[in-house]
Amino acid sequence: MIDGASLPERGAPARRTLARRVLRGLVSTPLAALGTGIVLLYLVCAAAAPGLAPQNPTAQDLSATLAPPGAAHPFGTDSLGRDLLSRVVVGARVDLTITLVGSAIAVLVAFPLGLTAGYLGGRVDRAIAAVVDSALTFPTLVLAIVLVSLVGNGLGTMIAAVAATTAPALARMVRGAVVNLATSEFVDAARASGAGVLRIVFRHLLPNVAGRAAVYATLLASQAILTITALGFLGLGVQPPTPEWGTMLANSRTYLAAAPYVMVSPGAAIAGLVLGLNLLGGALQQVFDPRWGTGQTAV
Amino acid sequence: MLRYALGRLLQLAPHALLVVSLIFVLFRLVPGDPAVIAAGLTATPTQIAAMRHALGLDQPLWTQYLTFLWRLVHGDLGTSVTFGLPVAGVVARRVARTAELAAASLGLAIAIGVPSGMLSAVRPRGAWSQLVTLGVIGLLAVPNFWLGLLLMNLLALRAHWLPVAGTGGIAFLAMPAAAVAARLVAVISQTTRASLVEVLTEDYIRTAAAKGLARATLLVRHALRPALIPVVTVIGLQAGYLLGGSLVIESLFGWQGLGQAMVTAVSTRDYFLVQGITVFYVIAFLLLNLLVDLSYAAWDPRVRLD
Amino acid sequence: MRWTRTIVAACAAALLAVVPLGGVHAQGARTLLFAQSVPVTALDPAGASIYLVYPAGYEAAFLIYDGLVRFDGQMKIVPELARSWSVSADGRMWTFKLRTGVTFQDGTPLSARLVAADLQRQANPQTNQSNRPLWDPVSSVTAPDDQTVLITTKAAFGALLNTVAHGSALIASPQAITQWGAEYKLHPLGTGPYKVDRWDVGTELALVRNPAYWGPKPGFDRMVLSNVPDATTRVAMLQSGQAQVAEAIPPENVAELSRVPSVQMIVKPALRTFGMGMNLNHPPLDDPKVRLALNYAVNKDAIVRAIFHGQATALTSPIAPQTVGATAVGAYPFDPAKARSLLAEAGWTPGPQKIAMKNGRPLHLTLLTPDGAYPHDVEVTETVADYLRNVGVDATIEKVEPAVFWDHLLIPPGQLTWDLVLFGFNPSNGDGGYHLDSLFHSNPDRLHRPWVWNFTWYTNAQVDGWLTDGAHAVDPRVRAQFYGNVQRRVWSDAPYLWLYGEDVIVGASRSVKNVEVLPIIFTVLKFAQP
Repeated sequence: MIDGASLPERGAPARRTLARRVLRGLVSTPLAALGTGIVLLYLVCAAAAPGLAPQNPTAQDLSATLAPPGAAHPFGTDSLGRDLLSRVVVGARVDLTITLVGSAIAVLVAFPLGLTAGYLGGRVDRAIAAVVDSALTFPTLVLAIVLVSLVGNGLGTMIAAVAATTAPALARMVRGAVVNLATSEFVDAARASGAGVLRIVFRHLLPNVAGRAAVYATLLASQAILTITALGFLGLGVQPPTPEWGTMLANSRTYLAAAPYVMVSPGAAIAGLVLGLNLLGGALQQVFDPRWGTGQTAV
Repeated sequence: MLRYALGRLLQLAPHALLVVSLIFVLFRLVPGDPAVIAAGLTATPTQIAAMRHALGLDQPLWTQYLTFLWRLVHGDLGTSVTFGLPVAGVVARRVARTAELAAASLGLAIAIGVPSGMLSAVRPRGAWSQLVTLGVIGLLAVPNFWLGLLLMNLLALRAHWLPVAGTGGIAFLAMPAAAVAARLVAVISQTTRASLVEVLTEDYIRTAAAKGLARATLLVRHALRPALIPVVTVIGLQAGYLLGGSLVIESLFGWQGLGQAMVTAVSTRDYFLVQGITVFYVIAFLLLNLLVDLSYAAWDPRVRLD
Repeated sequence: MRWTRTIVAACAAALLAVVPLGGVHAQGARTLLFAQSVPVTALDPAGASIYLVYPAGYEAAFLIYDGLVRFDGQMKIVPELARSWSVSADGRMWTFKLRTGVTFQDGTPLSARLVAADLQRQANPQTNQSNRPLWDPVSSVTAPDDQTVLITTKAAFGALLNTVAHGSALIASPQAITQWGAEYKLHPLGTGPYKVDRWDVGTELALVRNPAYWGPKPGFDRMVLSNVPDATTRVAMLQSGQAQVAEAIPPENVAELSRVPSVQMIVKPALRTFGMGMNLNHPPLDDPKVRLALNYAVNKDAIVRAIFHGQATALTSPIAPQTVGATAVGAYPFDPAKARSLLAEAGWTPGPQKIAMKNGRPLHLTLLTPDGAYPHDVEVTETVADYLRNVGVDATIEKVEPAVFWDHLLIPPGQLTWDLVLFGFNPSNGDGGYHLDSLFHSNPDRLHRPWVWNFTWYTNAQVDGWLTDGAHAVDPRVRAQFYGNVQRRVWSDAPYLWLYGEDVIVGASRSVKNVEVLPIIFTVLKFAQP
């Protein structure tokens, strides 16, 4: 099934249709709307974080440590008496920034690599594949840990870790999609009709690939959240006292029996964002690959 | 096919060399002086210098690189300061445990993921399908260390059904495997469903159905096999998660595998052990990928022509 | 729906086929499982000790070996392989009378000659590079006759008994050492109640009882020492009964473990004391008023209550009260107003954003902390930083992994990058002199790393003199006097922001008796009985 936007004659009107289709797709089903809503909520939290947080997330109150959720502290307090709601909200800023910036870098790196490798094939493909596959042979967390040991803890390292662990997979996916398309008939037709390499890439390959790559990138981003919170969980995250969900989860472990509610909010925050991103990815998938999940089967 | 396989295997060698060299470079950039750590805290500068010489760290970088490669080929990955044993020895002792955990997680995930994916593909609007959808969504979102903690709390601390932690038989393996498998169940289930749905719309399936072939036969003998190809691919892609994702889970449950050794090694800056385990993971991953590619090529002859 | 069932059955079969190869640990009659926080990787008392494996290695060593003397639960020195001992009038010759009828685990009888050979090896810097401050004062160890061991020191050394009771003085078989050479650490041979059965190095050490033990009959058939680095897991294993003894229990778990009827908690004040060491080479920490101000700025009692749940004690001396020679020398009560006024006296007045300023420069301090080297290390540092901010200090935290933490401390003064560092020291021979000497004796020069642990680069000639006099005195009262002077002086000079002395927290099943927990953080299971 060919995306209508790829036919050369339908330039501008096709793009408007695409945007409208995406927007409609984002709210088409309850799950899609939920995903979009969740991600928007997190983005708002992250953007407005310091102001949105009811209290100073680093202000300690040693007389009120591990307080259960209540009026003064809706999520309770941690082991140093810091308000958990505020820390979760400010933590959104930290974790989201890392994920978004890292993913953006990954996309900027992966697309050119994947397109080039997939379209040109042959030795170029093999060379790029060698680099990409080398990076892909590192289990995600191991690569992240090695990076942290090199550069030290902190925001920059975690962003680099996201980029380094996301870009190769994305590049591989883009390459695969391009390979598929490059052997298909309409590209042959375009080539036969005299279209140059750039035209083919930008008019025919890119729009077809972009949609599916966006889906994949969203799903990779949700995995990146799990990677960076795992880093925080292992103590390789940002410097204290900056709040970060994985680190908060690690600090709550020892209080499992005494104060289980301390474990709930950071873990739920992580799960919520991952959930939102997955649902968003699913919604985008409906837009760009509608055959999946329609149930039009003969059996 | 054999020629293709051999060709790919030969291609693996330069890949492996490239990655291993990358590891060497990365690890030489790590701050913290391994000679100081290996020599111990009360060592004098003379003793540290002696240790540095013993570890070969006073040689020029090129010499170190070639020595590294030479030793690697002979299975010598250096000595672990944490365990006082050769790194290769530590890896050998612990790899079986990690393999067990990986195999159990994968087995569990396939056992749950494939049937549920199939069920929801066959009846996409049924109650089961909705349940599977929600389950998949939930499982993909939950961080596996959080899930591990919840399981430990509920099944071991409160219900006393399972031992809390340790290494051993099925009882000790259950929770860690479940924690690692959660994500895989979701991914496998999703892929199975999507892929089976796609296959079931193919003309040849419709023709066979029209001809009156029984549903079960149709499903299992004709639809399932091609539908499982993407599942295999996806499992291959998850190999990295299987190997690396167990890092935190092994530590949490006291499962004495490579992952736990790696986490310990990172915090003790056990240079050679981290390097050795990374090399191992990477080689294992390359071989796994090759396996997946070969099975892909076995199905789709076009790929071999590349 | 036939195919559903077929598929489900097939997958279930596949799952069951993945039966793990590992066997369940043989938990036979009377086995004790001890969950330790660090791995046992070497069992040579003289081995190059790697700090991170403390105390696990020593805890295992106390099961396999005996010493001439040992510490009991109250840190009293009591006889073990030696029946009695005496010291000469000049304090340089220590005579130990050996017990008879003792054999090594391979049947070789113990004699004074073998003991002397072993201790000589410990004393010799060529063969034992660890714990040098404990052994450097020893000049020779001889065996005048079959039952007598004579230790001679270079000068009078009052803490010799503490050295002999230390883990590095455990008696190993010299013949085995010669036989195994460098590999000896993996094949220990001692005279103790348990011997090695199976050892998965770094993971699990399984011991079996030594039926020929000279002392009280070993209580257990098997003892398994398992490396469980994760505290939550150790707690869980104790709660479920999987482990009979677990060490390094976090203070916040004591309440819930005390509620478990089958578990008893052993909580004792330990000798390890904590403080923020100050880099005296960095202004403004060279100003005594600033140092005092910092000490008044922090509420130690709140830290003890909130972070350690009462299982710690605010310090009144640089060394812990139970350390030999300790004396309470004062307190720095929580007084932020006084802290601010002291800073003002030193020229630091509040500036923008409540940060103290002097000559246009803000009062900025970097606090260095390891992550996981000490209980709640990062949290304590975060709290101290918070208190310091409260009195106008712009405090930032740098957190590093334990393995590289020591690299930041044991370097020449010009390379130090931090202002305050969280540090805990445990005098593992129980002696206050050792503690004070390690931290406060002047370093020989400023070109190399600190001689022992004086990374604050504190230097005071009078203190050095008292430390030397104390070391050379044999009468405990005389020693206490000199060390008292040191403590008073150092306390008022405040090269540290003194914090707390922690408690050692061990959990044991109520069915196990005679679990000895020493304030030097060792759990001794030698005499444990079911």
